[in-house]
Amino acid sequence: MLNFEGKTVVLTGAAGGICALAAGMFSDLGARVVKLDYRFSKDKKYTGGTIEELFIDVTDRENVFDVLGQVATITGGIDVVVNGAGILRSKPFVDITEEEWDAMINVNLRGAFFVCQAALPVMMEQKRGAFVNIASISGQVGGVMAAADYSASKAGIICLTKSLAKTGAQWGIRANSIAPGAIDTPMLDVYRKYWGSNALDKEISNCPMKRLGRPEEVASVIVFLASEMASFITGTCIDVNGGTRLN
Amino acid sequence: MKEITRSHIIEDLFSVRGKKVLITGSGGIGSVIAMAFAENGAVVYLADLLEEKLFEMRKTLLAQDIEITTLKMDVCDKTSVEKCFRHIVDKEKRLDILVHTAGIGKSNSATDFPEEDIRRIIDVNLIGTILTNQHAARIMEKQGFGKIVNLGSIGGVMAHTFRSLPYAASKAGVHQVTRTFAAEMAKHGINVNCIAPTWVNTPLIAGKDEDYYRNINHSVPFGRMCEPDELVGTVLFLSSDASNFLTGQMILVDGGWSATKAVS
Repeated sequence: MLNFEGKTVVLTGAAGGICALAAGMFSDLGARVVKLDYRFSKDKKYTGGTIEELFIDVTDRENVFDVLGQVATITGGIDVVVNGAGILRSKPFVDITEEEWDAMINVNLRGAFFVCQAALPVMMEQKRGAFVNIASISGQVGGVMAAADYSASKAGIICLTKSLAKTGAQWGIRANSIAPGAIDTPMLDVYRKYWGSNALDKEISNCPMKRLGRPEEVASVIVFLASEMASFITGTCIDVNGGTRLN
Repeated sequence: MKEITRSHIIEDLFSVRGKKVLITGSGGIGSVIAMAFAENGAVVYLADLLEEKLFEMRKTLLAQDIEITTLKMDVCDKTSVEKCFRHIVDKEKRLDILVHTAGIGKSNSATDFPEEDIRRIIDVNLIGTILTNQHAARIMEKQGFGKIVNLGSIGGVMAHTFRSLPYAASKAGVHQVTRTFAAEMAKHGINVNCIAPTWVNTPLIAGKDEDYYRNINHSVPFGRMCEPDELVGTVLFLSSDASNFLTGQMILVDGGWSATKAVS
């Protein structure tokens, strides 16, 4: 159920954090892995190797279709797409500018939408495939420290994933999202910068497990949802938050 | 507090090898899960009220060179429950995982449902979950680690099928029992989660008329019921280190059914 030999797994936002870890796990399980990120070099072209890093700008529809098209042409198919590209902000509701709102939605939600649109026809042709989209607890509760635009974009991911699941079901394509809580990655520095170095203390005390999550604890859930272990799971959102929101 | 598992070795994160597992209920779901744990190298105890079912199960597995221990347990009787848990701990010195699947169902209209049937279903499905979870949690609290996986149902979230009032109520209760134990036991390093399948192809829903199955196939985006084997992956996941930061969750294993409904 965890064998990814011969499968092509594409991850966005894979230059660091959770998706970089997940990429390593997929590779360990035999997948051909394509790591996509805005931070990778623009000069590389895809060659179909076992693990490659390519530039992608998810806000540029043409670029998204071009990159995914290259991958599909060379590998012959795409089995798993993980949408992890995202930006985070902490800012009062009234202070978010129009440009900031647009940028947030363009990267976090519209970007994932473009990636799904590009990959879906490939998966429909194959009659198989799985999407794992990274949402957030902020998208379920309207943000605690995250700004309203981030939270709205992540709520959008949860809903977009359900639409995708219903669209893809007849071709055996699954789509699920994950809503991580406070996970110990460099992204949390956004909160520390805005709210102070003790920013996460309240999050930790609100979490029944009384700690931050580890990035590998989210990466393993990505692998689960992408695998045959989750073969009858689609259209859901799994919370990975140590029990936050239980009480 | 349970030690944080920092492993990135994917096979280790998902492994249940050597874990001491108790599965309650050797019906369509429990028996498949027991087999899966055994095939994956766990030390398996399977408990059920009906000894003849357990005997058949043990025989089937021995024929495949797989050994499990079977125990008679009445999940409604706290003495019986305690005896089984004590037997396991005396022998194994610990209990790593409880998968609680024991449950019953019956059909009738909400207004006509006989009281004795209602009480029996609530007793087995809800009280049974509470008693087994209590005993497991007490053991796991002393250990500082443990995983509990309960069998919920989409019936505990929505009125997904007519004529199953006490089953639906009991499963809604199972979800809340799961959340309560999860919230209280998190600090002791215990993860408590449940799975919520829609219709699963087991004897519990066998023998219905054509329309019943046609409606299911029509309403599930995947076009069919779930097979018990398709719950195995999720149960193994919830029993392993791969799910260490998940607790109090109800994992919908429903082929997309609830994504077609207004349920959050």
